[in-house]
Amino acid sequence: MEIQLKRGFYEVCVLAALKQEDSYGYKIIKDVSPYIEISESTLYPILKRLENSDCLAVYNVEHNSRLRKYYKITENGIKKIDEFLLEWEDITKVYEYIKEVGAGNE
Amino acid sequence: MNKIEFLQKLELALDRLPENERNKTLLYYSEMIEDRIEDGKSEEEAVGEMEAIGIIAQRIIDETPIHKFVSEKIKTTAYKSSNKTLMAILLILSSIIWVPLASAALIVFFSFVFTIGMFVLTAYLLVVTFGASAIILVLGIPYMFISKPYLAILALGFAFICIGCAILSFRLAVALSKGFTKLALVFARWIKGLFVKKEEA
Repeated sequence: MEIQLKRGFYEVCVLAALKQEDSYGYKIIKDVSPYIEISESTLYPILKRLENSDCLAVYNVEHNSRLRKYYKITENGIKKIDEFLLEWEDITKVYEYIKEVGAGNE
Repeated sequence: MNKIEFLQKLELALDRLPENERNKTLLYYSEMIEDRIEDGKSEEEAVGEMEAIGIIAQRIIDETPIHKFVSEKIKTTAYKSSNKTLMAILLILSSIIWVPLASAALIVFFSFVFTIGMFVLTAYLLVVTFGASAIILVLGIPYMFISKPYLAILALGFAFICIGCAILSFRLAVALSKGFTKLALVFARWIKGLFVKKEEA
Protein backbone atom coordinates (compact mmCIF):
# COMPACT_ATOMS: atom_id res chain seq x y z
CA MET A 1 0.00 0.00 0.00
CA GLU A 2 1.19 3.52 -0.68
CA ILE A 3 2.78 5.20 2.32
CA GLN A 4 0.49 8.24 2.28
CA LEU A 5 -2.64 6.09 2.04
CA LYS A 6 -1.39 3.79 4.78
CA ARG A 7 -0.61 6.71 7.06
CA GLY A 8 -4.18 7.98 6.72
CA PHE A 9 -5.54 4.50 7.43
CA TYR A 10 -3.48 4.15 10.59
CA GLU A 11 -4.60 7.49 11.95
CA VAL A 12 -8.30 6.83 11.38
CA CYS A 13 -7.99 3.26 12.71
CA VAL A 14 -6.49 4.53 15.95
CA LEU A 15 -9.19 7.20 16.22
CA ALA A 16 -11.90 4.60 15.63
CA ALA A 17 -10.46 2.45 18.43
CA LEU A 18 -10.58 5.50 20.71
CA LYS A 19 -14.14 6.38 19.75
CA GLN A 20 -15.42 3.30 21.57
CA GLU A 21 -13.63 4.16 24.79
CA ASP A 22 -10.55 5.93 26.07
CA SER A 23 -7.59 3.64 25.67
CA TYR A 24 -3.84 3.20 26.24
CA GLY A 25 -0.99 2.25 23.93
CA TYR A 26 -0.89 -1.51 24.35
CA LYS A 27 -4.69 -1.85 24.17
CA ILE A 28 -4.83 0.23 20.98
CA ILE A 29 -2.29 -2.10 19.39
CA LYS A 30 -4.26 -5.16 20.49
CA ASP A 31 -7.56 -3.70 19.21
CA VAL A 32 -6.26 -2.54 15.86
CA SER A 33 -3.78 -5.27 14.93
CA PRO A 34 -6.37 -7.82 13.68
CA TYR A 35 -7.19 -5.31 10.94
CA ILE A 36 -3.93 -3.55 10.19
CA GLU A 37 -0.34 -4.50 10.99
CA ILE A 38 0.89 -2.12 13.67
CA SER A 39 3.89 -2.06 15.99
CA GLU A 40 4.93 0.14 18.91
CA SER A 41 7.24 2.24 16.79
CA THR A 42 4.50 2.78 14.18
CA LEU A 43 1.92 3.75 16.78
CA TYR A 44 4.14 6.21 18.63
CA PRO A 45 4.47 8.83 15.86
CA ILE A 46 0.79 8.41 14.95
CA LEU A 47 -0.28 9.25 18.50
CA LYS A 48 2.07 12.22 18.48
CA ARG A 49 0.72 13.51 15.17
CA LEU A 50 -2.89 13.08 16.32
CA GLU A 51 -2.10 14.90 19.56
CA ASN A 52 -0.40 17.76 17.70
CA SER A 53 -3.35 18.12 15.35
CA ASP A 54 -5.77 18.20 18.28
CA CYS A 55 -7.47 14.95 17.35
CA LEU A 56 -6.88 13.41 20.75
CA ALA A 57 -6.12 14.43 24.32
CA VAL A 58 -3.76 12.70 26.74
CA TYR A 59 -4.15 12.12 30.47
CA ASN A 60 -2.40 9.98 33.05
CA VAL A 61 -4.08 7.38 35.23
CA GLU A 62 -2.43 5.65 38.14
CA HIS A 63 -2.51 1.94 37.57
CA ASN A 64 -0.75 -0.72 39.71
CA SER A 65 1.40 2.00 41.28
CA ARG A 66 2.63 3.32 37.96
CA LEU A 67 1.35 5.92 35.53
CA ARG A 68 -0.43 4.86 32.39
CA LYS A 69 -1.07 7.27 29.55
CA TYR A 70 -4.66 7.29 28.33
CA TYR A 71 -5.78 8.78 25.05
CA LYS A 72 -9.19 10.37 24.55
CA ILE A 73 -10.69 11.33 21.20
CA THR A 74 -11.66 15.00 20.71
CA GLU A 75 -14.32 16.69 18.56
CA ASN A 76 -11.63 17.21 15.93
CA GLY A 77 -10.84 13.51 15.96
CA ILE A 78 -14.49 12.55 15.49
CA LYS A 79 -14.66 15.00 12.58
CA LYS A 80 -11.62 13.35 11.06
CA ILE A 81 -13.31 9.93 11.11
CA ASP A 82 -16.44 11.37 9.47
CA GLU A 83 -14.37 13.06 6.80
CA PHE A 84 -12.57 9.80 6.11
CA LEU A 85 -15.86 7.89 5.75
CA LEU A 86 -17.28 10.55 3.42
CA GLU A 87 -14.14 10.55 1.30
CA TRP A 88 -14.21 6.78 1.20
CA GLU A 89 -17.67 6.76 -0.38
CA ASP A 90 -16.19 8.44 -3.44
CA ILE A 91 -13.29 6.04 -3.48
CA THR A 92 -15.71 3.09 -3.27
CA LYS A 93 -17.54 4.37 -6.34
CA VAL A 94 -14.27 4.51 -8.27
CA TYR A 95 -13.39 1.05 -6.98
CA GLU A 96 -16.72 -0.38 -8.19
CA TYR A 97 -16.15 1.18 -11.61
CA ILE A 98 -12.63 -0.22 -11.88
CA LYS A 99 -13.82 -3.65 -10.77
CA GLU A 100 -16.67 -3.67 -13.25
CA VAL A 101 -14.87 -2.31 -16.28
CA GLY A 102 -11.19 -2.89 -15.68
CA ALA A 103 -10.90 -6.29 -14.02
CA GLY A 104 -11.07 -9.79 -15.46
CA ASN A 105 -9.12 -11.37 -18.28
CA GLU A 106 -10.64 -11.65 -21.68
CA MET B 1 17.46 -8.78 27.91
CA ASN B 2 15.37 -7.36 30.73
CA LYS B 3 13.36 -4.14 30.74
CA ILE B 4 16.05 -1.98 32.34
CA GLU B 5 18.71 -3.15 29.86
CA PHE B 6 16.36 -2.54 26.94
CA LEU B 7 15.53 0.99 28.09
CA GLN B 8 19.19 1.79 28.74
CA LYS B 9 20.15 0.66 25.25
CA LEU B 10 17.26 2.62 23.75
CA GLU B 11 18.32 5.71 25.68
CA LEU B 12 21.81 5.39 24.28
CA ALA B 13 20.47 4.95 20.75
CA LEU B 14 18.34 8.09 21.14
CA ASP B 15 21.34 10.02 22.42
CA ARG B 16 20.88 12.89 19.97
CA LEU B 17 17.17 13.35 20.55
CA PRO B 18 16.13 16.36 22.67
CA GLU B 19 15.94 15.30 26.30
CA ASN B 20 12.18 15.66 26.79
CA GLU B 21 11.46 13.80 23.54
CA ARG B 22 13.82 11.05 24.64
CA ASN B 23 12.17 10.74 28.03
CA LYS B 24 8.70 10.58 26.49
CA THR B 25 9.84 7.78 24.19
CA LEU B 26 11.38 5.85 27.09
CA LEU B 27 8.19 6.21 29.16
CA TYR B 28 6.13 4.98 26.24
CA TYR B 29 8.26 1.87 25.80
CA SER B 30 8.42 1.24 29.52
CA GLU B 31 4.62 1.32 29.64
CA MET B 32 4.38 -1.02 26.66
CA ILE B 33 6.60 -3.60 28.34
CA GLU B 34 4.78 -3.28 31.70
CA ASP B 35 1.41 -3.77 30.01
CA ARG B 36 2.67 -6.89 28.25
CA ILE B 37 3.93 -8.32 31.54
CA GLU B 38 0.56 -7.59 33.12
CA ASP B 39 -1.00 -9.41 30.18
CA GLY B 40 0.74 -12.58 31.41
CA LYS B 41 4.05 -12.50 29.62
CA SER B 42 7.44 -12.86 31.25
CA GLU B 43 9.73 -9.84 31.24
CA GLU B 44 12.06 -11.49 28.72
CA GLU B 45 9.15 -12.31 26.43
CA ALA B 46 7.73 -8.80 26.65
CA VAL B 47 11.08 -7.23 25.78
CA GLY B 48 11.60 -9.82 23.03
CA GLU B 49 8.38 -8.70 21.35
CA MET B 50 9.76 -5.19 20.86
CA GLU B 51 11.41 -4.35 17.56
CA ALA B 52 15.19 -4.10 17.25
CA ILE B 53 16.51 -1.02 19.04
CA GLY B 54 18.23 0.23 15.87
CA ILE B 55 14.92 0.17 13.97
CA ILE B 56 13.01 1.91 16.76
CA ALA B 57 15.65 4.64 17.12
CA GLN B 58 15.83 5.25 13.38
CA ARG B 59 12.07 5.57 13.09
CA ILE B 60 11.76 7.92 16.06
CA ILE B 61 14.61 10.11 14.80
CA ASP B 62 13.15 10.18 11.27
CA GLU B 63 9.79 11.29 12.63
CA THR B 64 11.20 14.06 14.80
CA PRO B 65 11.20 17.43 13.00
CA ILE B 66 14.65 18.89 12.38
CA HIS B 67 14.12 22.12 14.36
CA LYS B 68 13.95 20.09 17.57
CA PHE B 69 17.44 18.73 16.91
CA VAL B 70 18.76 22.20 16.18
CA SER B 71 17.53 23.66 19.45
CA GLU B 72 18.97 20.67 21.32
CA LYS B 73 22.33 21.13 19.62
CA ILE B 74 22.41 24.79 20.56
CA LYS B 75 21.53 23.93 24.15
CA THR B 76 24.25 21.29 24.51
CA THR B 77 26.95 23.47 23.00
CA ALA B 78 25.91 26.31 25.25
CA TYR B 79 26.15 24.11 28.34
CA LYS B 80 29.55 22.83 27.37
CA SER B 81 30.98 26.32 27.14
CA SER B 82 30.31 27.18 30.75
CA ASN B 83 30.50 30.94 30.25
CA LYS B 84 27.88 32.21 27.82
CA THR B 85 28.87 35.87 27.98
CA LEU B 86 32.48 35.06 27.25
CA MET B 87 31.36 32.98 24.28
CA ALA B 88 29.23 35.86 23.00
CA ILE B 89 32.10 38.34 23.30
CA LEU B 90 34.47 35.95 21.57
CA LEU B 91 31.92 35.42 18.82
CA ILE B 92 31.61 39.18 18.26
CA LEU B 93 35.37 39.78 18.36
CA SER B 94 36.09 36.95 15.98
CA SER B 95 33.41 38.16 13.59
CA ILE B 96 36.15 39.95 11.63
CA ILE B 97 37.33 36.50 10.65
CA TRP B 98 34.22 34.38 10.47
CA VAL B 99 31.83 36.80 8.76
CA PRO B 100 33.93 37.11 5.57
CA LEU B 101 34.63 33.39 5.65
CA ALA B 102 30.97 32.50 6.04
CA SER B 103 29.94 34.93 3.29
CA ALA B 104 32.60 33.49 1.01
CA ALA B 105 31.31 29.98 1.70
CA LEU B 106 27.76 31.12 1.01
CA ILE B 107 28.79 32.79 -2.26
CA VAL B 108 30.69 29.70 -3.38
CA PHE B 109 27.67 27.58 -2.56
CA PHE B 110 25.26 29.78 -4.49
CA SER B 111 27.61 30.05 -7.49
CA PHE B 112 27.79 26.28 -7.47
CA VAL B 113 24.00 25.93 -7.46
CA PHE B 114 23.73 28.66 -10.12
CA THR B 115 26.28 26.93 -12.37
CA ILE B 116 24.51 23.60 -12.17
CA GLY B 117 21.19 25.33 -12.80
CA MET B 118 22.68 26.98 -15.88
CA PHE B 119 23.81 23.59 -17.20
CA VAL B 120 20.26 22.29 -16.91
CA LEU B 121 18.85 25.45 -18.52
CA THR B 122 21.36 25.20 -21.38
CA ALA B 123 20.32 21.62 -22.05
CA TYR B 124 16.66 22.64 -22.27
CA LEU B 125 17.54 25.61 -24.51
CA LEU B 126 19.36 23.18 -26.80
CA VAL B 127 16.17 21.12 -27.08
CA VAL B 128 14.17 24.23 -27.99
CA THR B 129 16.77 25.45 -30.52
CA PHE B 130 17.11 22.13 -32.30
CA GLY B 131 13.37 21.57 -32.26
CA ALA B 132 12.63 25.02 -33.68
CA SER B 133 15.32 24.63 -36.37
CA ALA B 134 13.84 21.28 -37.43
CA ILE B 135 10.34 22.78 -37.71
CA ILE B 136 11.55 25.78 -39.73
CA LEU B 137 13.57 23.56 -42.06
CA VAL B 138 10.61 21.23 -42.66
CA LEU B 139 8.30 24.19 -43.29
CA GLY B 140 10.76 25.62 -45.80
CA ILE B 141 11.12 22.42 -47.82
CA PRO B 142 8.05 22.95 -50.14
CA TYR B 143 9.28 26.43 -51.16
CA MET B 144 12.82 25.23 -51.80
CA PHE B 145 11.50 22.28 -53.77
CA ILE B 146 9.95 24.65 -56.35
CA SER B 147 13.12 26.65 -57.01
CA LYS B 148 16.08 24.43 -56.05
CA PRO B 149 15.19 20.76 -55.40
CA TYR B 150 18.72 19.82 -54.27
CA LEU B 151 18.46 22.46 -51.52
CA ALA B 152 15.22 20.86 -50.33
CA ILE B 153 16.93 17.46 -49.97
CA LEU B 154 19.78 19.12 -48.09
CA ALA B 155 17.26 20.85 -45.81
CA LEU B 156 15.52 17.54 -45.15
CA GLY B 157 18.84 16.02 -44.14
CA PHE B 158 19.53 18.89 -41.76
CA ALA B 159 16.02 18.64 -40.35
CA PHE B 160 16.66 15.00 -39.46
CA ILE B 161 19.97 15.90 -37.85
CA CYS B 162 18.22 18.62 -35.82
CA ILE B 163 15.50 16.22 -34.66
CA GLY B 164 18.18 13.74 -33.63
CA CYS B 165 20.07 16.41 -31.72
CA ALA B 166 16.83 17.62 -30.07
CA ILE B 167 16.09 14.11 -28.81
CA LEU B 168 19.64 13.65 -27.55
CA SER B 169 19.69 17.02 -25.77
CA PHE B 170 16.29 16.28 -24.25
CA ARG B 171 17.66 13.10 -22.73
CA LEU B 172 20.67 15.03 -21.52
CA ALA B 173 18.40 17.68 -19.98
CA VAL B 174 16.29 15.08 -18.18
CA ALA B 175 19.41 13.30 -16.89
CA LEU B 176 20.87 16.61 -15.71
CA SER B 177 17.72 17.68 -13.86
CA LYS B 178 17.48 14.27 -12.22
CA GLY B 179 21.12 14.53 -11.15
CA PHE B 180 20.50 18.00 -9.80
CA THR B 181 17.54 16.85 -7.69
CA LYS B 182 19.55 13.93 -6.36
CA LEU B 183 22.43 16.22 -5.44
CA ALA B 184 20.03 18.53 -3.62
CA LEU B 185 18.65 15.54 -1.66
CA VAL B 186 22.12 14.36 -0.72
CA PHE B 187 22.95 17.86 0.43
CA ALA B 188 19.79 18.14 2.53
CA ARG B 189 20.57 14.78 4.18
CA TRP B 190 24.10 15.94 4.86
CA ILE B 191 22.79 19.07 6.61
CA LYS B 192 20.46 16.97 8.77
CA GLY B 193 23.38 14.61 9.45
CA LEU B 194 25.31 17.49 11.00
CA PHE B 195 22.69 17.61 13.73
CA VAL B 196 21.73 13.97 13.97
CA LYS B 197 24.51 11.55 14.64
CA LYS B 198 23.43 8.22 13.19
CA GLU B 199 23.63 5.30 15.59
CA GLU B 200 25.27 2.33 13.96
CA ALA B 201 23.20 -0.56 15.26
